[in-house]
Amino acid sequence: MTISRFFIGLGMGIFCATGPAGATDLRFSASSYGTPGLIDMPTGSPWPDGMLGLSSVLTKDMQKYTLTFQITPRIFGSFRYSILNGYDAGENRYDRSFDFGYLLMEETQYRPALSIGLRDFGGTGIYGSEYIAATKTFGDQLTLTGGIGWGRLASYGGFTNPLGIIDDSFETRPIQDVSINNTGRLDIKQWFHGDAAFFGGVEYRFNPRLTLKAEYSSDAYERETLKMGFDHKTPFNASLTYGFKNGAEVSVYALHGSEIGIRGSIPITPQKPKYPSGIEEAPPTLMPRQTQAALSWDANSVRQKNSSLSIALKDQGLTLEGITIEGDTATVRFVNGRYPAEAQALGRAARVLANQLPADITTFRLEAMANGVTTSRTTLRRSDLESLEYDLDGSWRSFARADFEDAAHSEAAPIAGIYPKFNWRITPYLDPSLFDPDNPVRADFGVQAAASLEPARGLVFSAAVRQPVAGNLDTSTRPSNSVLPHVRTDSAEYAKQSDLEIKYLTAEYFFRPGKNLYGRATVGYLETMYGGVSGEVLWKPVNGPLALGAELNYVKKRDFDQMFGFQDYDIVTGHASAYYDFGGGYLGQLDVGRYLAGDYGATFSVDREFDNGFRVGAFFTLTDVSFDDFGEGSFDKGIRFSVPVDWLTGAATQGGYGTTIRPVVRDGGARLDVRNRLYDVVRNSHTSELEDRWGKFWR
Amino acid sequence: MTVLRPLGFMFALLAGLSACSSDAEKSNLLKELVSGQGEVVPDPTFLAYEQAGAPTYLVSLEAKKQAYTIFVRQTTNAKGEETWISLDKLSLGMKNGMIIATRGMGGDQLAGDPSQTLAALKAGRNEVTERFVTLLNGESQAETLAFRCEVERQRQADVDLGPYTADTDLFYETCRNGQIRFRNLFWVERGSRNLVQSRQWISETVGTLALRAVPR
Repeated sequence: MTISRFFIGLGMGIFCATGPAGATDLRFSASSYGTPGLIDMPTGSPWPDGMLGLSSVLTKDMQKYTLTFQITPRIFGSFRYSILNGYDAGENRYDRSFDFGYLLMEETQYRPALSIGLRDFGGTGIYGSEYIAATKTFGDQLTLTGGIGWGRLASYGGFTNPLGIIDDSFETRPIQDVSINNTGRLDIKQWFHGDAAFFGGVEYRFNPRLTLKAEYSSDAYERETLKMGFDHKTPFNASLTYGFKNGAEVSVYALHGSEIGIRGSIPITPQKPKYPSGIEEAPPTLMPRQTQAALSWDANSVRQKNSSLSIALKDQGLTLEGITIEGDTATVRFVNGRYPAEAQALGRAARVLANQLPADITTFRLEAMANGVTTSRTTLRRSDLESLEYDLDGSWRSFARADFEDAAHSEAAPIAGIYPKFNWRITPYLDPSLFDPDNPVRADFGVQAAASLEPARGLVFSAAVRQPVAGNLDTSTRPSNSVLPHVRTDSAEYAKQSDLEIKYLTAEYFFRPGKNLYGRATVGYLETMYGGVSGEVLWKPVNGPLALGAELNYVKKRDFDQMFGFQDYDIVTGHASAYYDFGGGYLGQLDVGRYLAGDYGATFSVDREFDNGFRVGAFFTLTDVSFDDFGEGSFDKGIRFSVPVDWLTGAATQGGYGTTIRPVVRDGGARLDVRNRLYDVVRNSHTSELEDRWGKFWR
Repeated sequence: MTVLRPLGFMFALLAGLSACSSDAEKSNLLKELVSGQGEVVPDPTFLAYEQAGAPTYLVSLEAKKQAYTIFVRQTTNAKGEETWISLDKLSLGMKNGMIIATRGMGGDQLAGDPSQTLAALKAGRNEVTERFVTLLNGESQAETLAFRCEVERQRQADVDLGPYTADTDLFYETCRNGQIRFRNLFWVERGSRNLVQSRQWISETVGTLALRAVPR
């Protein structure tokens, strides 16, 4: 009989992780701007909460690439990179823009959805416009949209701004300062000013695959006409869209009677990975209790490195580091080297303990660890495991019956022979630099060797060496024009002047100064551009939403060759940080302090982290560097995302892939990029994160 | 979660997977993902129970041709809930032939309560029942669904179990809630009232499993 392996890795289509099978109805309406809309015109209906839309649009002389995120059920934000051929006296224009939209009113049976939005509110203003749009669906097939626009959305068919009733100043849109140094500022004085114009359109869905859209556009394409020879023949646009089963779409559209465009889009639903419960093997079966004699168990042998308990835990990807048995209680310290969800590690560890320890040990205290320090202690009762294994509400009940507390000092006696630990890894790497002002994609590709040695608990020596093989990071020809110390703007020099590179070479020490307190000291070559000393203290209770931290660094700029030498520039930099978990997956962070160029200021960040670890966020930094001195972009800002490996593949593997996209990298508001900042090191085993993924406890 | 930074998306995925490392788990991942029909090293625990003559099921996944495996019963707890483990390290929670949990199938049922349906089958009655299923959703949360089901006897059916042919009653259990509809099939042996063969829905992701008891 042939035995085929069941599901594991059956042509997993790891790149098609856009929602589960059966999600055939995943239609969303996107415009050429990659935002909720018709063809060029916006609509009033938002996308489903949490959805990420990636879209690209091509016409004869223009390309647009947009990432839109439905941040909350009412708010979306977009980042767009556009390439306009010959826009600047024959030269191409590479334009970055941000959009924002807010749902004012949800659609009901009799009322349309109503949204207000801003396009290109912080860029060079090529697409600068504001709108209010209403959208109503009729049955499953027909959708009507009408709206009023300002700015670019009032360049055709404009009339005197009705907001003039409130104040005459609304009737005039101030002349925009479009100099490059002025980009990035919010043009609040322009918003909803000047002429207004109506737009509208219809969307008709023939079937789940085919959709027709037609619109009356209030966009005259003035700049394209003037600078790129665009021919605006009619205000009407039309498109035909084909939708694939996973929600991806391809559209062909006719633009103002003179051009044809193609749009492609892919929706990503972070809440719905392809394998919702993961494909890792089943947990150990919870067996009936056994006596000490039946297990041939004794309290001493369990302290050996090769005890059957240790081996059974290792089989689950867990390393036993310490154990103490007192009366009916076993306290165990272990490292989870496999599961992204700490709750899953706890569930498996508890079942292994139940199977390996004699019947009279009835309480298990599990100490989780990160980088050598204990981060929390979870107390579970054997009887709860036994009664809730297949309970319909076993997930919640087991969470409610567990106790979580800080473990500032481990109460499990160490097992001899665990340290030193040595790990190494050789991997290919990709180092991208996205959407810089001259080239949308730069990247280096090569081989990285990384190793770490832990001679004792909490002490880690680590190094990574890279050898680039191919790439174009070194082709940037834009010399830094920054008036600040070049703390980041000459990053291209590091790619140009290096070959074999030391990515980092550090000694780190992690420790617990007291209850709810964590400490880190790092010395060495900290990141690509800086080496020195870094110290951090974090206060973070296991059971609270708030954490506070402080970090102080003395760093020196490294030589461009990324070997052992330093340049003359040195600086004391550091921040006081507050972290707050607002619930519902929204995380806020405020960092106040001194940045690498010596500027003082604050960074504001908000992230939305789905329970499965998929994370999308945005940040901006304001410092005492003036907008003029900062240069292009006016202040530092960006968006970031990270996707867990297990979200993509379903396999129980820690880690993820992420990147930060900044419209432009400048020297103001630049922060040191030291590894292993404490907040993200310790939070995974704290109550809020455990609760987020507690469904995995029984998995 | 630690994030390898700064890495590009798809390429980095391959990068991470094609690594070689002191950690064997990470080195093997690519092989496992790409090979698809990976070579299966039978689970030694499974083999021990199989050789000891534990009750056995042949189980196939309806949505995928040639996807089948063997489960043996490993243990039964105080509540009569059984854990069955497979050759390829999956497990099923079962109670009297009804699946009450799965582990390792990509879209697992954390728990299920089909007791009303089971009672109807055991009694050989047509009945309207309630069935509850707790799934592990994509956000790692347990999510309980309630279904209203119609249990209806269809006809007598012979089921060839190899060593002998079982004389059974075939029942349909047709379940629905607002969004989901599925149909389970049960072949209930006359006399013993045991479920000797069945087809049971797990989740939208997994679909349906077909089980047949292997007489020992």
